Parts: sequence; C-alpha cells; structure tokens
Amino acid sequence: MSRPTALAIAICTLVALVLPQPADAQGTLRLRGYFVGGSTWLTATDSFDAVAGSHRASSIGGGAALTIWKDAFVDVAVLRMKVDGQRVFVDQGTVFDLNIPLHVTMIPFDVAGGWRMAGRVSPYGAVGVSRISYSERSDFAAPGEDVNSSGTGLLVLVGADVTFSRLWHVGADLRYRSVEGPLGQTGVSAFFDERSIGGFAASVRVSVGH
Amino acid sequence: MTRSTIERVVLAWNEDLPYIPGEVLVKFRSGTTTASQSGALSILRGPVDAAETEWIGDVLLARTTSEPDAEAAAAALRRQPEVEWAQPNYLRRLHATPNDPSFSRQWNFEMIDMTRAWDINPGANANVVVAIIDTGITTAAASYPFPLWTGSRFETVNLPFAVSPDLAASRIMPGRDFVFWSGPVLDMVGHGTHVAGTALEETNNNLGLSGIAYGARLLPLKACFGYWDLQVLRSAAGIPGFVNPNETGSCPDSAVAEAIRFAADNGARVINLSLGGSSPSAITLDAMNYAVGRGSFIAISMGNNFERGNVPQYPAAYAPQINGAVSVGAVGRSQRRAYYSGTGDHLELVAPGGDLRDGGLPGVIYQMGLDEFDIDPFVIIRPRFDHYFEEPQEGTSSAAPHVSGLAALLYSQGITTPAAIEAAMKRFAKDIGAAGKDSEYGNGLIDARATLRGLGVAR
Repeated sequence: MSRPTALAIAICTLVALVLPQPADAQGTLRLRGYFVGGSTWLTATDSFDAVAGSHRASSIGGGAALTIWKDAFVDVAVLRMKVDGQRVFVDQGTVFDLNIPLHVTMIPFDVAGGWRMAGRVSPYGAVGVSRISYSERSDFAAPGEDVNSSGTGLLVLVGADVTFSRLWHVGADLRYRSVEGPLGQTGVSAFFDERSIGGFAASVRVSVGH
Repeated sequence: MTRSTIERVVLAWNEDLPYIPGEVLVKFRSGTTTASQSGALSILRGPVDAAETEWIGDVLLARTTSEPDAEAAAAALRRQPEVEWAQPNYLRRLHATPNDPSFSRQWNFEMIDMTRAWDINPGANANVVVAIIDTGITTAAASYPFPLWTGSRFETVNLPFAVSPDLAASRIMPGRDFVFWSGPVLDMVGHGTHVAGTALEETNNNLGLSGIAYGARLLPLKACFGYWDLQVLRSAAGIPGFVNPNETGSCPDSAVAEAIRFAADNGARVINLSLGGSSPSAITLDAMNYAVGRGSFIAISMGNNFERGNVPQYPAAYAPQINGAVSVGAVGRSQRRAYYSGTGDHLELVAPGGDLRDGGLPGVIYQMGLDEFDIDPFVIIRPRFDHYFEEPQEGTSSAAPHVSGLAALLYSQGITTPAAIEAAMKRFAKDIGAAGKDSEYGNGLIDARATLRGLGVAR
C-alpha cells in the first residue's frame, strides 16, 4: 500500500473514531476525512504522451477537510500519481521508443481554504497551494541521473458531496494544479517546452465525518 | 575488368591521377531518348566503346580510349543540353595511415563510453546490417591461383585467404566485389578488415579485440583496390611489371556509387565510407541520397589531409546537405583533434581515430587486420592473406566506423530513420573545442551511452 493511501485511510479512521458526535452548530469545528481516487490529465501532454503513450495518470490518496467557521473549511490532501513508460528520442515530432523502462511518481500535497454549501448535496470550492514531489527513475541510470525534485504552485479545488448517512458522503472532486517543477530544462519536456508538473484531476471522493 | 580497363587503372595508380583515364560518368536529363544520348556522346573526340559501357542506376559509365583526359571529356559532355551532369570516374583514396604493430589498447571505446553503452545495448542484433564499402573483408577461407609477375615472368601462385578469426562467419554476409572479380569478397589490403573491426569485431569471445556492434551483420562490399588487387589484375591481363607500391588504395566513383546503391537495396541500415577525394562526385551524391531515402544511415570519414592543404574531401563534404549522412573527423587520446584530421564547416561529428603524436603507438586504433609483413609490396612478391594480427592504424578511416557501429546500436535500440540517428548523435555529442558547433570538432565527440539512453521526461 502506498504512503498516501495509507495516510488517507488513517485519516478517515481517525475522523470516524474521534468525531462521531453531531456538529451542526455554526462555529463548531467539524472534521471530515476522505479518500479520493481518479485520474489526472497532466499539463505536459506532449512529454508524457511521448514516454508513456498517454498524459493521463491514475491518482489515489486522501485528506481531511476541517470546517473552522460557519461553512468555511481548510482542506489538506496528499495523493500519489504514477506514470510508467520508456525513454525516448524525438526528432522532428517523431517519437522513437528506446525500450528503457522509465517510472515517474508525483506526490501532490494540497492545502486549500474554501467554502462549502450546506445541504444533503453540498458543493464546495477552494483555492490554495500544491507542492508536488516529482521523482523520475529509469533503468541504466548512474548515480545522480535520476530526478528527485519538487515544485509549488496554485491549486483550485471544486466538488460536491452527497450525504448518504450521518457520517458517510460520496462525491466528485476536481482539482487543477499549476505547478512548475523540474520539467523544461532537459529531457523530452525541454524539446516540447513544457514546464508544468500539474494538471487537471477528477476523482471520486468518499468522506467520513461531519 | 577488361585489359584496356586494367591498363587505364594501372596508369591512374602509377601516375597518381585523380581519375581513371577515358572513363566518364554521365547522367542524362529525364526523358532523353537513346538516340539523343548517342548524339550527346558523339561530341567526344573518339567513339564510346559500346561493349564496355555500363549503367549504374540511371548513370552511364562511358569508356573511350581516344580521350584519356576524363576532365575534358566530362566538361564537353556537361555542355550538351541532354546531359544533367557528367564527371570523371574519380578515384577516392583510403583515409588511413598504417603503422607498425605493437600494442592492443582500445582506449577509444572508453572515450565514447562504450562499456556502459553495452550495458544498455549489447552489440545490436542480427536484424541490423552494416555495409562496409572499402577494400573488402575476406569472406572465404581458401587458396586461389592468381597470376603474378615475379620480376622476370608470370607465375600462377596459390594465394591463401582466411576469414578474420575475430569475425564470426555467421555474421558475415556474402557481399559483393565491384572492382576485382565475381568471386568471394577478398581483402588484399587490410583496410576494410580494420574498419569493419571497429564497427563489428567479435566481443566477449576471449580473442583479439572488440567491436562496437558485435551482434550486427556485416555486408562486405569491395569498391576499392590495393596494390595486390591491381598487381593480380595486371598480371592476369598479361601486363608485365609492378604497380607503384607507395599507393595504399583507390576506389573508383563508379564502384563506390554502385556499392552504396547495392547496400541500400540489400537492407543495409548503416553504410560506412572510410574514403574520399578532393573532387566533387555527383554520382556518389546521387547514390547517397538514394541510400538515405531507402533508410540507410551513412558515416563518412573527413579525410587526413589537414597538413596537406586541408582541401575538403568528397563525399564527406556532401554530408551536411543529407539528413542521415554524417561526416566524421578524428580525435586522439586526449580528445584533441588528430593532427591529420580535416576541418571545415562541413564537419559534423568527431570520434576516436588515433594520433601518433598524442601518445605514440598506444594512442592509435587497434583492430584485427592483415599481417602487414605478409603483404608488404616493397619486399614480397608472393603475398599471403590468411594471417591476422592486432593492427595499429590512425586516420579518419578509423573514426568513421565508431559512428557506424553506434548507428547500428541506435537502430536496434529503436531509432530507425537515418535522419533521427544523425540528430541523436549530434544531440548527445560531447561539446569539445570551441563552444557549440565548430570547424574542428563539428557538433562534438560522439557519446555512445548518452545517445543510447535518450531522454526521459525531465532529464
């Protein structure tokens, strides 16, 4: 089990155990833990299309939303995205696969503040920052040739939860991250002049808490 | 070859002429009728010998005994409206300088990071065919009775040949001889064997030296002749005497162009040309365009005449105008330009070629070659071509097959077009000398590992 997934489950469990009481009074802190799973369409489309044949990555993770005043909340989440492909050479737009396995892992850590509308169906929106840890490993790499880096940028978060019971909610979670990181300097991303390690993520969100 | 052709070749060899006298290569404009072609040829001082005329692709090799000055004949033909171009049948020279045998150190492979490159791609595979257009690489272990002039009379001598012990017979294709005979390809110079060694010699076989693309197949194409080839041909034609032993080898444009086309038509993904001359050659340019268009990458030596005027050498000077053909200069052991290596704006890449002035004999390129004591024309009249040794050579002839070998690896790794192979080598070349592309090192020194490893997303 990946670290973000384990963290998400831990948060959900903690929320369920620690905060079982009703909390509909305004001004009371309310905590909702959640698990998200879905897909991210990466902004560096040409680069990821070249190495992986697709710029879509599965993402999985979890987080917690803490309502701090009326319906204002702070949301913290950590996710994990993985892209498997191979090293390539690009000449005049043609991509040549080199059959050298390559693995990219991105771990966004999102912090956002926003507003949630009350009701059985409760839409929400938030803005914040996302810090993405980026790692790229490939076969035959010498020490120092793999990439471990990170970048921080804008996060926009919208979604809606549907309440099914006192504690359980299911909804859709959309995130847009605009984060410049290690791309665009060398590698195929430089060829395509793509710098962002962000993208647009759409996930199913299962929450527990209030 | 007919007696008259041999006589012309011997004359060119002995007189150090840049072309074969009386031979002109002519390309007619498309749509020119046979009658119009004959009309155009009729302006020559004497008749074209129809029996000795031959077509190389869409180019006519015309022979006439009455106009030995091929430059003049070609100039006259160029003025005819039916003629697109005409040129003498130039003789290209081999770009190597043999040295005394001694050490067997392949510092050259470490310089281009071959050891780690082989981790990624161990020697290409048998689907990749590398054509070496040169003096031949012997493909048969046999003795052949050839006539030889012994100083006072002709004598039929059984000349023994053997395949290089460091080239697996299973990887050697039959090949083709364009200058000597219709039998098996035979190397009577050693140059072709040495060049082939750098690109393709067996590796990890506990014998001799190593080669870059040791899993690829070798297509030996003999388009150049040396002293012994010519001596046998001359003797077979009944012409007494010896040819000039100072010459190292010559390659008629007609044979080179034919070999290039043959290579492309027979699946060669890589063609090595370790030869050149100072005269432009339209027929070679046409053939190279044809080959690249059919998917063959071409590596061409820059030439060794830096200290002799540094005149641009062809076909290397054509390389920049062909996306998929690369001109290759030489560096010595300390990654400085070898003293002989030609320079100019048309230089695209450099590779190890050896440099006696940069480290002495340990600083040249060692590959398996013919034992030069068995074939030394100054002291031998009955040579043998079945002894091989680790032969030291320096020259851009030795640099070019580094690029050819790497091209074979790149092809088997997945870069399958000549233009992309050229682009990859340039992209990952180590920039030495002045920053950026320069006339001494081109785009830099090839880096086998970096080129094979290609690009990730971020690095």
